[in-house]
Amino acid sequence: MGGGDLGVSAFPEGESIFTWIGTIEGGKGTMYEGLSYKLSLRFPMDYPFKPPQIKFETMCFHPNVDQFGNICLDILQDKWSSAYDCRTILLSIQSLLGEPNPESPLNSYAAALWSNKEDYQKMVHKQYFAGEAFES
Amino acid sequence: MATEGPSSSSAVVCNLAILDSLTDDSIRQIHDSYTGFCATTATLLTGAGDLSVGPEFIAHVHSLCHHGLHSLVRDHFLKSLEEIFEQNGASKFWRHFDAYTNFALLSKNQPPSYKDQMSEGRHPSDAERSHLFSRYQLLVSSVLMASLPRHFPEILHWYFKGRLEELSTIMGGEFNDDESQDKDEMDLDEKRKISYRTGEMDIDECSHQGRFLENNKLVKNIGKVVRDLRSLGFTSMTEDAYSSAIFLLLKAKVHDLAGDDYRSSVLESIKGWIQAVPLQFFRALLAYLGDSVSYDSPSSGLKSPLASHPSSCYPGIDTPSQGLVRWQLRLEYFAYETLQDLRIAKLFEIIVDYPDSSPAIEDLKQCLEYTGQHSKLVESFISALQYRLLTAGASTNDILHQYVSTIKALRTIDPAGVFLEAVGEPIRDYLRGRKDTIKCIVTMLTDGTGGNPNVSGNAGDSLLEELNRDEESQENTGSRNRRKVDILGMIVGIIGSKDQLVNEYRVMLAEKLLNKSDYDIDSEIRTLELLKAGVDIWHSLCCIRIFRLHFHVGTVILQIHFGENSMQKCEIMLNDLIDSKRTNSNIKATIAQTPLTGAEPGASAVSMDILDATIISSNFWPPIQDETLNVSEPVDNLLSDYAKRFNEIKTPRKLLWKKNLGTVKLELQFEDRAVQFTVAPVHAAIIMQFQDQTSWTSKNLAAAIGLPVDVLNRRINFWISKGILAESLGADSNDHVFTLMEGMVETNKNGGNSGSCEEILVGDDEGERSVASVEDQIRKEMTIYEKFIMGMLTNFGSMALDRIHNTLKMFCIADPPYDKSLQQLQSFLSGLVSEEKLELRDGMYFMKK
Repeated sequence: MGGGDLGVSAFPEGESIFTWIGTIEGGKGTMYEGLSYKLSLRFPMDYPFKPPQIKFETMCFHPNVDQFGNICLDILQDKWSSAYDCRTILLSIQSLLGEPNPESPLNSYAAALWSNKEDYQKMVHKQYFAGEAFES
Repeated sequence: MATEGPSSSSAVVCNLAILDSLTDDSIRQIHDSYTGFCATTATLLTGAGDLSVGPEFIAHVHSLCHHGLHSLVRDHFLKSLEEIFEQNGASKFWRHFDAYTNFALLSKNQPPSYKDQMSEGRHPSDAERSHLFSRYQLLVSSVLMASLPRHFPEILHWYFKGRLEELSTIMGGEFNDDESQDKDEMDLDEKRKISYRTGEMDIDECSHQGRFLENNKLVKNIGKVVRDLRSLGFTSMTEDAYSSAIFLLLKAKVHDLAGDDYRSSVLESIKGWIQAVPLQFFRALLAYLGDSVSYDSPSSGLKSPLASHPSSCYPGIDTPSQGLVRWQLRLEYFAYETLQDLRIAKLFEIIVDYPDSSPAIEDLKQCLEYTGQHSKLVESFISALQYRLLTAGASTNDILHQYVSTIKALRTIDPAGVFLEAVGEPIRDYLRGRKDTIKCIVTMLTDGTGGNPNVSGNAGDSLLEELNRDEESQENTGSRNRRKVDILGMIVGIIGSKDQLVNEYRVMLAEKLLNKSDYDIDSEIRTLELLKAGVDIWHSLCCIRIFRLHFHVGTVILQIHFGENSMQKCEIMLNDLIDSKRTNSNIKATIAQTPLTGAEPGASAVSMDILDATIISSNFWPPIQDETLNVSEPVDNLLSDYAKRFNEIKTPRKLLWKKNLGTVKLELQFEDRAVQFTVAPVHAAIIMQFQDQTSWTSKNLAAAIGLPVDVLNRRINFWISKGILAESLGADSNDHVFTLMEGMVETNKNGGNSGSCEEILVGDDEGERSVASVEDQIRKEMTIYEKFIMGMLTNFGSMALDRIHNTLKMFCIADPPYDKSLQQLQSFLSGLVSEEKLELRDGMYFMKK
């Protein structure tokens, strides 16, 4: 359940085993370094034959994440395999943060800004801390 | 006119109706007579006993009656009587009480004096007599009631109290002529003094003599007073007064008899007293009143003082004996309740000296059976416990002993154990929060000397032995043997799991076995057997209800694997010790046959005889503290020689020495004396280094022995404190120099017997233990959950203790399952907090950022 030193971890939330809370730390050397993002994981009854629904709970400025936290990631949709487990999913999302796929953007502004590292990082931090302030 | 009107007004109307038929003469006559009648009535009534106008009055009445004016006469007389009485009589009557606190004489005299007047005024017709009289009674009592002074019930109360005390004294003299009589008399005297001061006079004087008269007379007096009061209409008030007086007296008596002595039963003597005093009083009173039943008008209907309410429904049914029985029941109930309250309030103390106080417990049991107020006991006892026992100041041992006493004591009162459950719960909860509980329980169960001497009867016997004996004796007498089961079960229940108990016992056993060279294995085996049985029983209690049944029937022996298994390790530990003895002698026997090469004679030669190895099967022992230690060469040779021989005998097994464990007996020879010590191997190793070199720096010494410097510094204190070594600062401030005090000054302790052998047994007072304590083991086991906890906290931000606990319980179900208690988790978490991995704020744990 804990992901060790990989910077990802998840844990069942409350009494239900189907709802988990996950945490991803921004990968080192990426623009998300030092930030930690909360995610919610909802496992369907027929898991692992169907992928879990995963959303960012923390505001995340990213080309493949929309303003509601929905993630566009192939392995969570058509490329799902029952071999994936919680740890690998979270690791995939973690690497997605550092390497976005600008081909299918959910957040076109972020996709456009991606080339401008400085402004991009500013936006990441702005959204992150705005969300944090919002949460608390 | 011949018929009488119900009221004066209607009578007047009737008069008017027939006025026409009257002649002027007769009218005048009537008028004169009436005026005369009015005047004489006034004179008669205000004249206070002056009956000189009586004939005149009677003449007038006659003439009025002659004219058929009965009712008018009667009504007028009664009306003016009432007015006068209201004006004078009542206030006079009550004034007597202002002047004299005691009223008895007055109340006795007052009604007759008016009665006299009444009989004077009462008119010819005998048939109307009773009717008139009851009207009169009603009138008097209503007037008196209306003007009742507030302190009157109190006066009545004091009166009855005084009388009853008197009676009690008289009866007490017959009943038991011991010191209680003196006390009563003293009380009475005191009271008398008080009453004198308040101006009590004639009657009390009377009663003063009354003590020497027959109590019969006393009762009769009281009976008279009661009767007179009744006829005045004060029935219920009188009853209230004497019943409250009796109850007060009874309460005082119970308190007096019960006192703070719990070693004797008082219930019987209280019952005896009830028979002797209050019931005697009632018997006499009822008998007296019974005589005058005919006197009492049926409408009052209150023949039995008890039955103030019911008897109005069933007048005539109760006989004095029935009333008496009811009184007895009432009094006994009250006595039971009073005693019960008294005992419950002191239950804590009673249980503290339980075996001695069993009569009091027995009393309480009877009282509770009668009153059924067990819940009162539970509430009061729990609050007493919380206030007096479950505080930081009480030692765990004391709490445990009180717990055991409580179980024993309450078992008597409540064999079903229902209330015990309620009472025991707070104690158990509290004990679970204490760290040393398990240790104390194990010590208490197994160690006779460690027990609290004032609780268990014979010191030196462990509680377990006691419980076992208890059970055996019960088995012999054929009664149910649930007692032992329950006590042990409830003790173990504090811990929650018998595994913990067994573990703790194992650690303690290991500690004992390793640190004492001549340990009495037999006694430990006995304890083990007892404990084994106990754990079985406890387990069966928890898991297999049916077992209890079996146990009862006596067809015990269900398949009890549980206890066997958990105690198996302990058994192996003991067997190791027994085997060690055998192995030792075997190996020593081999020396005689084939002396090995290494044993060269000389100063440093050490013969195998001095070595006694304890060979343990380490898998079954609690984790053993490992500490490297370099022993001196001859000893090392000896050890390896021994190991070699062991290997020869017991192939393929090999011997691994734990050089830091065990004990070493050594003798230090100085120029002028020899001193013997029994020490830990570390100490021996240290001192042996000084054999060749009298001064060491701490660093060098640590290296030679193979200990870390700080450990060495701690351990070497032993020798410094014994005056064998001296410590001084070396060139380097961190490097101390230790020097052997050769031919040194005597240490203050053994100055008198220098040169004599000194046997000092070194306990583990330095906090060094040879076996990892249970807490350490738990901490080690907990570390695997650390990752889980960290994962949880990363994802949830903050969590309260019980949420962490529950989550672990829910998700860590496999290999190894999470089976720790909340307290254990808490102590582990606080360890993490002190390691600065976690933070604790407002009861919530956070990840340390």
